[in-house]
Amino acid sequence: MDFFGPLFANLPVFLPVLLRGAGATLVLTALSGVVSVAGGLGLAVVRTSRLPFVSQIATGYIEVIRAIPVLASLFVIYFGLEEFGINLPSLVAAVTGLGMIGSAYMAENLRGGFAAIPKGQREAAASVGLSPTQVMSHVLLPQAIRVAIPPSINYAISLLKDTAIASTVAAPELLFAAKGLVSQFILPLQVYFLTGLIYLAMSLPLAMLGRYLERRLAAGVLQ
Amino acid sequence: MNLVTLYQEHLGDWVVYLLPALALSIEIAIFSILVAGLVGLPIAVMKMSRSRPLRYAANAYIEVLRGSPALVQLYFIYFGLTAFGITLDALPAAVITFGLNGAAYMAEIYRGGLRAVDAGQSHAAYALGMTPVQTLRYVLLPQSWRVVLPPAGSLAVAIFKDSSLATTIAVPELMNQATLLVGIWYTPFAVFLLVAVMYAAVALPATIYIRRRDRSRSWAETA
Repeated sequence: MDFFGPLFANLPVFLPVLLRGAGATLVLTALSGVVSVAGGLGLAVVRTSRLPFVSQIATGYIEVIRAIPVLASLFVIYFGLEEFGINLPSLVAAVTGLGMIGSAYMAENLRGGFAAIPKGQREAAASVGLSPTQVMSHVLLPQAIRVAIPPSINYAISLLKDTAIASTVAAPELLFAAKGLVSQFILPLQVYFLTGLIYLAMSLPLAMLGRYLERRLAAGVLQ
Repeated sequence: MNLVTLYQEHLGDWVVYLLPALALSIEIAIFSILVAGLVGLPIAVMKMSRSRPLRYAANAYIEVLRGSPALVQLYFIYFGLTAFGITLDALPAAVITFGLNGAAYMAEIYRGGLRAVDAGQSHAAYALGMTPVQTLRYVLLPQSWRVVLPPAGSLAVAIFKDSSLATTIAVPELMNQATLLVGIWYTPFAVFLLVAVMYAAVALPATIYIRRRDRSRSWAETA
């Protein structure tokens, strides 16, 4: 069995197709990441609310959504909503699904950040006359975000990998492009090997950045 | 069609139909975490060894398996290995994939557990004339369970959710049987929502249980 022969012979065909797919994967990751950060911030702030039920609803959402497989969420959004006449393009469905799930994980990361801030800071900020909103935006969030950055980079890596699941709803990303090549060339070993390498090339720099930031930020964080 | 009337008519039948599939999903998770636990240990030991080639090999395994999507690894093992004349059935292919993928995470979990044991313990074991394997088996591992079990439990839950990916290679697990139901009834929203709830009904209590046990530290006594 010759592995490298067919690989190198077809590389000029495979590589451009897969790299275009990788570009789409990065776009999908970035869009879902933005939704996750925005949603996570919102959830984390709502969760600190002292109104009855409000924080419980946020907590319930965070817990339940993290207990559901990505694939199931994507199927509900992509195939399920069609039943109600809502025909989302696969890319939009993927960003919605991954963003909804990511929001829950980001909110959880931020909670870790809030938990790291001593209670006295909130009290001190209130006692110098800052409004609750100002306490949140000027005192708590800036510190919480700092603590939340390393776990969020880790989340970005799993998000990048989870975008592969969007291939099941025909989102035109890297794995979807790979599947197309496989059905065309019947070289699954070579194509999926190459696909795995491209995912690695995208995730390893993120992992290194995460480890670097973890060391950097750990130094200055309030203990 | 109205969701409520739909569930009133079919919920019982659907759940009865889907329960064996849910059982298979749980079985996949159990067998996969067992494979992960078995394969992960030697990798952790290799990563902690003094030999540089062994350390590099363990590192490469961990980085590659954690840096690429499980779905790509599944396709590689199920479709790709046929090029070597290795044709696996879908179910073993899924267990092997999730097991080998999980082993990369388990290796890091074991490493954390083994490092939490005081270095004096292994020095004392060596001084008593125990071999490295005996030291690991009788001295280090038993003491590391307390640290290892909670994240290993979380990993098992993560694998349970990932087992839904096996539907793409036609393993008759929960997600797969759900798509069959959708094919019969054309009610994707109702069915996929039910399936999402079924996944959460297993994953959420498991997660909460693990979190409680972890906090109460009672695993120290049971293990």
